[in-house]
Amino acid sequence: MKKTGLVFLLALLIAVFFAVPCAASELLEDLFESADLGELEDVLPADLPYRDEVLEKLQSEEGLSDYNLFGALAPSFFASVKESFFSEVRLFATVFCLLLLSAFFSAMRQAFFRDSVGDVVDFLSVLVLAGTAFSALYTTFTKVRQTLFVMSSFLVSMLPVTTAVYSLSGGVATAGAQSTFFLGALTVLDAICMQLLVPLFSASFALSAANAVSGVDLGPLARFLRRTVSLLLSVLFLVLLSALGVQSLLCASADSLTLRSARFAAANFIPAIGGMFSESAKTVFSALSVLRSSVGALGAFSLLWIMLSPLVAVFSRRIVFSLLSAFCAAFSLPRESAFLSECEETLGLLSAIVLSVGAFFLIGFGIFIAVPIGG
Amino acid sequence: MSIFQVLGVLFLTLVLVLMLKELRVRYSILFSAAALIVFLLFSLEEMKSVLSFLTALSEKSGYTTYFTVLLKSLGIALSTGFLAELCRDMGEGALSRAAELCGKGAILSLAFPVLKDFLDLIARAMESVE
Repeated sequence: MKKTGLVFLLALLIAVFFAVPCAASELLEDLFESADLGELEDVLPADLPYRDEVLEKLQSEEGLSDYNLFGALAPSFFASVKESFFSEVRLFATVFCLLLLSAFFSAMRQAFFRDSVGDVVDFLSVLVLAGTAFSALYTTFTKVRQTLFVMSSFLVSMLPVTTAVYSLSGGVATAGAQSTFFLGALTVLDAICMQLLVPLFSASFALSAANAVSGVDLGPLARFLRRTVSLLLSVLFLVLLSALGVQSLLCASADSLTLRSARFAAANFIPAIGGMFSESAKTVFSALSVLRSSVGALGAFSLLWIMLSPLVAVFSRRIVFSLLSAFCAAFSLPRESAFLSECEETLGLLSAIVLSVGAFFLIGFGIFIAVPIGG
Repeated sequence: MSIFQVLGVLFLTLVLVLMLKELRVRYSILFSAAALIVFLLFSLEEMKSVLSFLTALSEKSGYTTYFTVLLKSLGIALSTGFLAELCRDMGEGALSRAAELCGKGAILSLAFPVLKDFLDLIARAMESVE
């Protein structure tokens, strides 16, 4: 079942990306001309990732005509990946040296320090290590929170576009239902993710940090909060995806029936030229479905682009913490190993939140492209 | 000097201290304290390259404060530990406790800024809960 889902998701992503070069380039160019690119600078959100590169590309002479938006954004993305890599290497080297010092303290304690001085030195080394690790973790958490906000803003701005395209394609019922559903989904996600999940996660983070330096065992409580967050995420997205799938199929069927009825009526009740109306309507709807594919593909691509940089940051930081935890075990530092493992689990939960939200809206874009309207 | 030479000198110092103890106890105390300081300085000299590497790394990482705090606390703990042991060897248990108390206080005072930063971090995380 998992493999089938994975194959389906891969096929959907391949279909989305292969649709990009097949879009109606002249129609898009006309749309951009009438949209007046001079106002684009005011329309694009200020916190959109790679905003300057996108703006420069859209306002250049080529515009979108040669579809090298990826080529314009890729250097910035790879530069940010490179910077992220060096920052992770610096973090790894710093924490590794702190671990070496802690291991040295631990060895010296047995030889030279009495229990009382040794306890204070232990406390200080754990405090310094925890401070470094948790400040790195908090930076990543802030980045992910910002990404969720940007994704939400992007989807709110995409909603009128998708609604308009659905309506133009003849899917009036689908347009109304989808826009209502996505507005509702965004509100629910904002309420649950930002008002509940993120605070629960913050509390879990604070408990893990306090557990690392205090003598009180707060670890089980932090783990309970993390499990609660992941359970809530699973339930939430199961419900939303089920509703999205059912609603899309029902509304698309209703719209197809309406359009077929209209074409049948035109073909049979308009004398002489009724058949022409019916056939030309079919051609127009086919062209509009190409437009729908292009808009959907661009939306999915933009969403993936927004998610990519923070996901790379989270995964690379996770690898760093995992390696450091392994080194702690080698240096016989069990307390440090435990809180570095907790940092890694916390990052895993962060990536799950971003992936869940992103996957839900990617599937939404996929349905937008794939649902047949107009027969 | 190689480590074996140092150990040899240490052994000779021990013999001299024991001989001095037979003759003049107070001179043996001063002699062992002086020898202790010399050996500490020698070991610091040996660790200089490691310390300069760690300092350079801390400057590149941006966590200079934490490294400085840890290294200072290591120095305080070592000095306190040696002095406390010396006092105990001389039969001055109370003085050794006092030395340990001073050392603990100095290390805790170094830890306060780090603890404050850490608590600020937890407070910022909890702000989003409200």
